[in-house]
Amino acid sequence: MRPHTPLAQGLQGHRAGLVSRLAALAIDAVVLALIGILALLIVAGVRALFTGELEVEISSDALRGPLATLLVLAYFGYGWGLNGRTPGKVALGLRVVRQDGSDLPGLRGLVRAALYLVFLPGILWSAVSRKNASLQDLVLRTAVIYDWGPAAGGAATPRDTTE
Amino acid sequence: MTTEGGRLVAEALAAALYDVAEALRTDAAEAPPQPARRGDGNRVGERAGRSLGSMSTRAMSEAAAAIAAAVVPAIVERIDVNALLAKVDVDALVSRIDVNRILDTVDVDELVGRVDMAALAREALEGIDLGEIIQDSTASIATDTLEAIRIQAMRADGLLARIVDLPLRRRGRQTALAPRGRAR
Repeated sequence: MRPHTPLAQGLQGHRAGLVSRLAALAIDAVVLALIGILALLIVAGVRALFTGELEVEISSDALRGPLATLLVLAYFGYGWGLNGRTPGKVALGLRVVRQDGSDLPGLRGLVRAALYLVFLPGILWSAVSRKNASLQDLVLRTAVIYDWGPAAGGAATPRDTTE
Repeated sequence: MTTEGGRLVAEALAAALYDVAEALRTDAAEAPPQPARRGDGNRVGERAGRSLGSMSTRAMSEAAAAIAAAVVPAIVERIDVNALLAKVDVDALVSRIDVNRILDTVDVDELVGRVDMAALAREALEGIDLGEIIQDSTASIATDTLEAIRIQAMRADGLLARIVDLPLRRRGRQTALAPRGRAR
């Protein structure tokens, strides 16, 4: 996909703002919910094979929290650590990179996911930050950039210009 | 005319003369014998004339056909069709044709009535890959929609940044990444 407008073309590789990031996060939340429901259905189906009763819920309260945390960490950690993109970021054409534009190491992606899990409102700082950086970005020296993919041309390349 | 053409014409003429002579001979054979008298020469000439005059239509047609069969190909062979066509003013010819008058004579309803529209439509639809068209158009719509959403989000980013920066008295943001090795 090629950016067709000069605005999109000119912003490739630049730090994204809060609206794009929140929109991507909203999509990720929906995808996460769907994955959670699917996982519940699979587990319930397997359990029904042995008990004969289809019960789509996690009966143990002690398990619910850790499983949800694990799912969120795996989802964001895998997406950011692998290529800096979750499904939400793919949809909005965003990518998480290091401050110099290089790929995020897998471990840092996982830590970033943990930081968002601990303090999600930290993302709001990107509305105020001069560099559109969230609190997590500042701690881990990461950035979220507009990157519509290799076909966009010139995307995700570090630039030395100021908007 | 070439030697070949001349030969063909000569042959045709010979064949025609033969046919005439044959016709005369037949007439003479059919006429009752007359004793020779004075002035018979003139009478023979008159008879030949009458014979020619009374020559059967079939024989004359055959003679004409024989001549035509031999002469016409030779003539046609000699004609330079391209040169002939070059002399024809096609534009003038076409301008003389009244197309509307020709169209008036055509019964379009009857013409259309003869066409098997159902079969035609079926054949046309068979040639179209509807699945591929739908797939392409759907993909195109999805791509365009996604792109529109991204651009709107970009604009909203810029707008929000300007709104926030206004009370902070900032002149834009530093959204470009630092080059490699200079990241803080």
